[in-house]
Amino acid sequence: MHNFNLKMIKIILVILMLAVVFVMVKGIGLLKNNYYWRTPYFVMQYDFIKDKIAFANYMNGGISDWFRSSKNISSSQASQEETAKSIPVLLYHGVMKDPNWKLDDVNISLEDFRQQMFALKKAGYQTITLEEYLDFMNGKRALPAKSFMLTFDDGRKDSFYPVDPILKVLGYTAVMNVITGRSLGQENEKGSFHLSQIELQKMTESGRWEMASHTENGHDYEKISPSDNAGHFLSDKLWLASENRMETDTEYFDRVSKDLAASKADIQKKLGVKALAFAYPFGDFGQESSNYPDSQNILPGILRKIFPVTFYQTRGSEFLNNYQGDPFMTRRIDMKSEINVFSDASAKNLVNLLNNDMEKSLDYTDNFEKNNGWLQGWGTLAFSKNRMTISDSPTDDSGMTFLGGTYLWKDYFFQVRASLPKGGAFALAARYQNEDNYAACDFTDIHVAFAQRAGNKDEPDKEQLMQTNLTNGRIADIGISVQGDKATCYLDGKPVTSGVIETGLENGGIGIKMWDINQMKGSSLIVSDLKVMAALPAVQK
Amino acid sequence: MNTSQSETIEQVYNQSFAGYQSGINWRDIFYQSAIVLSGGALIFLIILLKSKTSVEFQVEPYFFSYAIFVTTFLLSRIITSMFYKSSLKTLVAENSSGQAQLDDYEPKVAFVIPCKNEEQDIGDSVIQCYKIKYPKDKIEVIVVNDGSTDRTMLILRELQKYYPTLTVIDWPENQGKRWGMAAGFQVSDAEIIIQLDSDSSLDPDSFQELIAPFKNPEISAVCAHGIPKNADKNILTKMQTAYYFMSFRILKAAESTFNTVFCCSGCCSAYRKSDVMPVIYSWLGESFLGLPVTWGDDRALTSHLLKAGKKTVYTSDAIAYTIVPERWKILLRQQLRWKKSWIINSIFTSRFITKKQPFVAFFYYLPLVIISFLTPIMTFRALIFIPFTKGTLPLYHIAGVLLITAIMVIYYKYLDAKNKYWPYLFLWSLVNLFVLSFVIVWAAVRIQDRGWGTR
Repeated sequence: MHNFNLKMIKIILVILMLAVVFVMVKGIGLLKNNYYWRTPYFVMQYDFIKDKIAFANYMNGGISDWFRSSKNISSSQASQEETAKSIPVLLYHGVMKDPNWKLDDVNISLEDFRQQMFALKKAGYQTITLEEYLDFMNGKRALPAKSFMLTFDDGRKDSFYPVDPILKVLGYTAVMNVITGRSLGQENEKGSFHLSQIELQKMTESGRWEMASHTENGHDYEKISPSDNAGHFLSDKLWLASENRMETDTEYFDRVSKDLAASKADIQKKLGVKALAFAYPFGDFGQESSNYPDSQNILPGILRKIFPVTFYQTRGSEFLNNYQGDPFMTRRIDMKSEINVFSDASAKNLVNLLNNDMEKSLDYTDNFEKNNGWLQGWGTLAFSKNRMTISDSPTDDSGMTFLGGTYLWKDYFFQVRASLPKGGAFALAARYQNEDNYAACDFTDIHVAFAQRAGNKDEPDKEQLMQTNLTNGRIADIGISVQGDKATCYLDGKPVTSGVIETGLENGGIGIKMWDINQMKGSSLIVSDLKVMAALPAVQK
Repeated sequence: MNTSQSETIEQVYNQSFAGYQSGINWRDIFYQSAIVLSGGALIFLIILLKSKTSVEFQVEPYFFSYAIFVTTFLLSRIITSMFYKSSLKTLVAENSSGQAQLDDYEPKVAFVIPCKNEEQDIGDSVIQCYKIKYPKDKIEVIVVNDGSTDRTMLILRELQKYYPTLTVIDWPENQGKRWGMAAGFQVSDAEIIIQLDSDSSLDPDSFQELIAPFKNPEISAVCAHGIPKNADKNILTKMQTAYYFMSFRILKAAESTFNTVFCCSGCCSAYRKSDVMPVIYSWLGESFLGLPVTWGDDRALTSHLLKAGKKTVYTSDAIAYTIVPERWKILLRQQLRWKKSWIINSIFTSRFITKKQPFVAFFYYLPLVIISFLTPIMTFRALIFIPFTKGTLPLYHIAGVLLITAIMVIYYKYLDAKNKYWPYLFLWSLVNLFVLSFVIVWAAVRIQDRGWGTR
């Protein structure tokens, strides 16, 4: 009897204890891998409530706004009739929650990010998805005027955990560009920096996040010569140390193709979604190549077959938004570089930036009371007393600015009142698309010339030699008109020279450039009374 | 025979064995399992705490294994202890020849009290022995006056006038407690010997329960349930009272389920003389690294009995009272002695237990040995190494320890709802974590110091 009992007890104990061990091991595994059971999940719920209150307060509605859906708020503010002509795409990296975080070149503080998103929402901006973006670019879908796309690079945990509650509050969506080798690799669950597969799955399921590629393993600095370790995976040939030689063209092509295809396949296989987009690591699509400039021409060939959209960071002389057409090279506004240019109160300036970048209609006048969307190519730019001053900078011997929201303009007459108090020369640009595609009238002390660049090549100047007396500081009315393929330069209200505009420059905005003459640093151009008219000017005299 | 008298006996019988239904008590197990389930919820919290750390830091497989190991081990203790009563009941019922004999079982018992310079307490100790509810002619008290230099002997001689069955062994030179106990065993002709510390006493009413298990001839030693007499003295004694309850009613009870109590406490245990005598010389001659072992007599004697294949049990029905240290210094010394004896005895016991009791060895004893030596390492890591190298406070570790204690406390409250000392178990586990878990290291270092450091 007793021994029988003991046997029973032993059996029960062994079974129970095995069950306990099983439950604990399994439990820890489950809790560890399942984001929903992690403490951050509860933190996120707490953050969500905090953000909700903060947003209600931001909208000046207080708690009562809680019960209003966020959609009502946006629709009451956004203009319903207007449709978007262009789409800005914002790029963020980490969003730092730590109050002790020190400002760096990549990340943004949570408070700044929250303020930026709240400000955008309040101004009526709404996010769009990649699919909506693609349809828009291909002309298949109209979008509200104030649409934008939110993207995060590198697939970092700190661009998800603090951000998601805010997206949830605002009803926004975002694109996460994942380095699949890090996030979806074998070691992923252990990492504390990159999001793991389970986290990415949960993000996808939430409906707030889209997945895109940021290469499989292409975001490291690579060895590209026996001594140089700072090469880019995508744009450089690698140094094969074991064979003591550089990669061949074929090897480069195979390596890059394999990586990019693998990253897309990984997202498809492990997250069950199709990656529509790809973001170039470092924003380098070949233009920053150290040893293989040809990569700029090779990469599109590879990428186009895999991703309809690729993201790069817009450079200073480019328009910020993306206009209907080929979505393959999609510009993004790197929130760390663009916004800083404009100043300190970043949220307000972000809204201004996007507002000013929306398509402007003709006729357009600018009294330069404030910056109405002038983007700084290079040099320095200042606004005061209804004047815009463009100057060189310690690093540039010229200054250039162009007006956002003018990219789609076609035929117009662009006139300013300008002076060069400290000498130098300047140009008015029309049909400006970027620094390699524009038509312009150059004005120096001794000549006026029609010049243009189209597709990276300079067209010969249509030059008119004349004494302009512009460098003595006199204020002159300067203009350029573009009608069809004909461009005309105006000085003091009179046409002085003209030329034929190259194909490819059928549309474009206005820009102004100044430069130093004879290494005389410190010159600047003062501009006022800007007018752009759709109608041709009445020819005087 | 008077009918009403037999009824009374019947009632008394029914009362004292009310919980002793034959076989496994499934109803009890059901309720106890419910308690374990709520403990499970707490374990879930523990797991949650552990997995929380893995989000921010690298996963620590060793630490996780250790945490699972310890938690499982402590849970197994609680669950095993739930079976202790039914196990004891069937064991006692089995080999006692017929129920009729149950009440008649009253063997001759002897108390052995080794003492040295105890003029304050010895009189009371002896008188307490004679107060127990047991036929007076079957009680014998043997006091071993181990080289006292005060009036102890005088008092004993005086007592002998009142108690003719009081035997006094008078040693002019101090021989040590172990030799005193042995002398008692040899001099007495009682069947059952109760070893008593001079500051311990037995509850007179429940004494019968201490003797009852010996009905089964396979049982060689019975350990009573120890309760501190000075429980309310200060916070330290309150903590120890909570610890004693857990240590006896849960840990010892669990050991008793498989009839292998590894330490029949010195303060309150009864032994069958015929089983002790064959091992007494081996026990007396116990030495470690060339030096005789001067403490842990109780643990050593119990393990010698286990080595001889005997059964040792615990009963919560017999109550013994003892004095616990009231000052930190004394407590630490006591703990140091206990840990030293644990180290030495674990080596001795590990050698035979796998052959004699393979299930107990692998399910309980060896894990216990591993845990007791791993714990100071893990504690050092969590409390000192990690905070200093990574700058993170050991909050999760402490929370985990408190949660495990909470599981113990739930069962503690279930066992004795009126026991008011349970909150002190949390304090004790913190003291254990921060102080006592390191004592074993010190004990290992000072293992060759065989002194008592004064009691």
